[in-house]
Amino acid sequence: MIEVFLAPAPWNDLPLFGEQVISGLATGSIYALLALAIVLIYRSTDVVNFAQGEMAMLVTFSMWSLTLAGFPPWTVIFIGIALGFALGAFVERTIIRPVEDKPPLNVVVVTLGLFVLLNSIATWIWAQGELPKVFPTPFGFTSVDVGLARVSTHSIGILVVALIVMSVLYLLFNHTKLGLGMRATAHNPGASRLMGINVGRMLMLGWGLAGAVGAVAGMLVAPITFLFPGFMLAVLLYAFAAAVFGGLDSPPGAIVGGLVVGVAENLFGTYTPGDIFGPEMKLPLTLLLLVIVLMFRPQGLFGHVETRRV
Amino acid sequence: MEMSIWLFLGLLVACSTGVRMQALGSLVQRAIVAGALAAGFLVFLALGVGVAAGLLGVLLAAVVANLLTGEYVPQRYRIALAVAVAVVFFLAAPWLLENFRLFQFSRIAIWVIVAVGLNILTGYNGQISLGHGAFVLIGAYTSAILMDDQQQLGFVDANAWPFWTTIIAAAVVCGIAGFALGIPALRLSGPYLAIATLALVISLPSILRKYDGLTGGAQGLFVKQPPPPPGLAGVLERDEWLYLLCVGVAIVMTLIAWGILRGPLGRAFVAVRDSEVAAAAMGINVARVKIAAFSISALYAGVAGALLTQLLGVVTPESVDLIVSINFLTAIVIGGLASLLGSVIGAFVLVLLPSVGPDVLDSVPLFPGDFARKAPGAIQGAVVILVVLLMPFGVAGSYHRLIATPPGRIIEAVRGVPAGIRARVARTKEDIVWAWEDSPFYRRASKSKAGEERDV
Amino acid sequence: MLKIEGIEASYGPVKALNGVTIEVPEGAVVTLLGPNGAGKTTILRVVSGLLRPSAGRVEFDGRRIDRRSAEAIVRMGISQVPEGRQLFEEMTVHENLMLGAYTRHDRDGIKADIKRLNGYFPILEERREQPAGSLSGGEQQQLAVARGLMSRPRLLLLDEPSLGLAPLISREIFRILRQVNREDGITILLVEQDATSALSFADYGYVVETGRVVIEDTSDKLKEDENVRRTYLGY
Repeated sequence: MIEVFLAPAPWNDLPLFGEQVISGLATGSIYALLALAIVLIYRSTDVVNFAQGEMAMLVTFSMWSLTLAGFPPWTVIFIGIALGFALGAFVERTIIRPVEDKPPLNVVVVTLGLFVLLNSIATWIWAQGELPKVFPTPFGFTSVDVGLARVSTHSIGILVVALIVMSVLYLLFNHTKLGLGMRATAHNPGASRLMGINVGRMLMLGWGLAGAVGAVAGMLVAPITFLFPGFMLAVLLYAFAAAVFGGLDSPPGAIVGGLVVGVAENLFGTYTPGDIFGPEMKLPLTLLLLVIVLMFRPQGLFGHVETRRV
Repeated sequence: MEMSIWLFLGLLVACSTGVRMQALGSLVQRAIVAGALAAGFLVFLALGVGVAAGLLGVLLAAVVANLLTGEYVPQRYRIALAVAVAVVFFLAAPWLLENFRLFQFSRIAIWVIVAVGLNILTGYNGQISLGHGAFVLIGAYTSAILMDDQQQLGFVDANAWPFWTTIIAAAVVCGIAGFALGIPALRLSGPYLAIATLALVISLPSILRKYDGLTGGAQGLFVKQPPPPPGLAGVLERDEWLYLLCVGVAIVMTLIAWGILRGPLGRAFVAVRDSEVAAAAMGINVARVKIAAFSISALYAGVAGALLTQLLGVVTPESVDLIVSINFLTAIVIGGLASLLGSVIGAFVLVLLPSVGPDVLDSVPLFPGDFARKAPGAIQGAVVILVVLLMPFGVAGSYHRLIATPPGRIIEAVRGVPAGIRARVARTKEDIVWAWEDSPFYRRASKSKAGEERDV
Repeated sequence: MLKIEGIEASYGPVKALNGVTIEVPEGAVVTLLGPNGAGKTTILRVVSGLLRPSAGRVEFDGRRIDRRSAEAIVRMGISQVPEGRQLFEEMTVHENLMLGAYTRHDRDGIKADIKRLNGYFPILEERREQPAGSLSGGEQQQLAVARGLMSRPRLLLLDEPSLGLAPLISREIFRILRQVNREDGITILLVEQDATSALSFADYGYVVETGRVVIEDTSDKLKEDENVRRTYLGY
């Protein structure tokens, strides 16, 4: 048998395979969270928010400062969520709303400008000292046995938190009046105004929720990647892949997409032939997978075909 | 910045904006504006805030030129004069500018080529690409690989190709690459296309590093920068020659784009952008037109990449990174979509902003200079956001409106929508009416009865 | 109840209304007639707050509403059934009705109203959990009217409720609207192309042409009017 795998083949080393899948699911659920943030905004404002990762980065850095000031981990996480919400709502109200009725590319460029702006501010404030910085995890990094595989408690913590966030969002959107109003606004803002819904407030809330969800993703991934001003970029790219994979207007799609991308990334990194591909090619291979999926489903797996409204 | 640049900008703006600048108000109002500008100019000059004084000086030149000649000199002559001023300045620049500034201008010329190409694709044809950095990189590597003489790469021809043939080769290679990517792009639209092209520019550096036998790997490839041609060897330094080369190619490529966009293919680009269904109904082969736009656009990026290799003398996987690639799109949006002038302005803004921005803030009294130096991106980001908020159709869009707006409505002029673009943004009924008003059909129809029978 | 005085409005540089004055008394059914593009829909958009008039005033119950937001106007008791229905097509019939009641907080009252409307439009009960977009044109129009009534409006603005519907269905909708008007005392301002049914339904009518009111009178008198007859009734 020709040795094509870097690692032993899955059927020869099931525990390794299991570890790769579970840690893939853990990072995948981080991608899923950020993808969910992107989808929330895309559904309500028709904008792909390129600054989503940097908003989370700014929040995570601020929370690092709080940790340094002696706040306990869980307090920091909840303050971070609140700050992420406030930042998202603030961004929508101040710089997105004035361009909402302008060509879509303008909004894209505004979010690109915000990307550069936030990144630069974080560099200015936090990059003076040593980088990267260590961000604490409330779950610890102990290894535990799950069936055949050994995984870290942080990975399990990520999965649990992601599940909680997703359930909360599901309940909010499907079982509250506020969620009803937000969904209506996403579908048809004009008619929503005639129902007496304050559309501006719904958009602001949508951005706020996205900011909060993104902040959770940032604070969960920072203990793994460590903290430096560009640490969310790779996560953002995988999250884009996840969101597009699942369909930009579909929240369940974002979750499925995130998990698929996370697992695919890990498996490509472990099992591709080293002399041709190897671990350093996992990003291109994951993105290739995305493009192939798009060729067959141009609107993503769960997305709706865009109907032209005039 | 050097005096010569200010003089050039002043002359250029004076020539081009003199045209019926009635948006500023009556003659008296314009005179008052001129007086205020002059006062500000002198104050800043006295305070030693160079850049602010320069900017006011440029505006002053425009208003004075308008006061003196606005009613008498037709627009055609003014534009011709502005073009002449620009050509003379750019040809004389090697003797007017410092070396680092000349290098910046060479880079601007290269970015102009990319921006013009991207504007053909995005502005005129409506396909968004965030991945044009990838084409630039492919062009740059094509040129570098062909110019190698087995010093770094084993597989190449022992005789290095002359540099100008590699520019053509880069154009061909990227044209084909654009063609190949244009076909899958047919199935994608809007944000899906944007993210797919983003995937391209993210993946390329890993691929270039991985297959180092072909590309020189992470440390990249070095090339011998071309010396000035024999006849000019005594007159020009190598940097000056490279500058003239870049500017020359940029001008030629812009003229070619102008020719294409005025012709049937250009009209087909716009028709497909505005409505694929209507374009198809008029007998346009939509798929072929979209692929052509992708291919031409990539070709432009390839030419720019080959020039970049000549200018830098080296190309690495990081020569064009994600941020630069994204900045190409930012450039054409703040310069002006679907406008060649906008592409040029965008390229200038994006190259000069990071270097001039901190200078400007430094010269402002009481502003923490530390911030401007340590966070140049903050200035760039803020300016990009402000320009998009204040001038939704880019600097060029505002310029076109400014010279054609009734007296005294300068705010509307700057924020308004230039002709021909409104149709694109129609989302609500009001937008359609607006779009209609500015479309060429409206002017014809409003003379007949048809204009009054619109459904409002 | 509703007083529109000399309103002017434009879409960008295009003027759509040139000083329109209309009065809708409490409990009445008033209709606006006129050709396509005359400005009828624009009048409704001004009343419901989707478009700000550049001149003139709109009063509801003696209070000025032309500077208020669309949301505030819904809360004051004006509800619009817009042209082309504008349903939330991917959401269920029930969710659409709940959105109609978005401004209300009385759970029991909302439940009772849904029950009552299901009496008017039994099909909505059957289709309760289906996406609104999967309904037929007539069913969608019934849903749009029901949704408009869910906010318990005192004034209902209707924009072409019969557009694209089979005559039998549109007659049924007008029958229910009359019932709503008589039994619940809801005032109605109706924009309609089909002048015959509009005039047999309404008490009073205005004819709008190129952004102005050209004729106004009671429905019976309008039916007799030579010009109205020739242009809009076609005999």
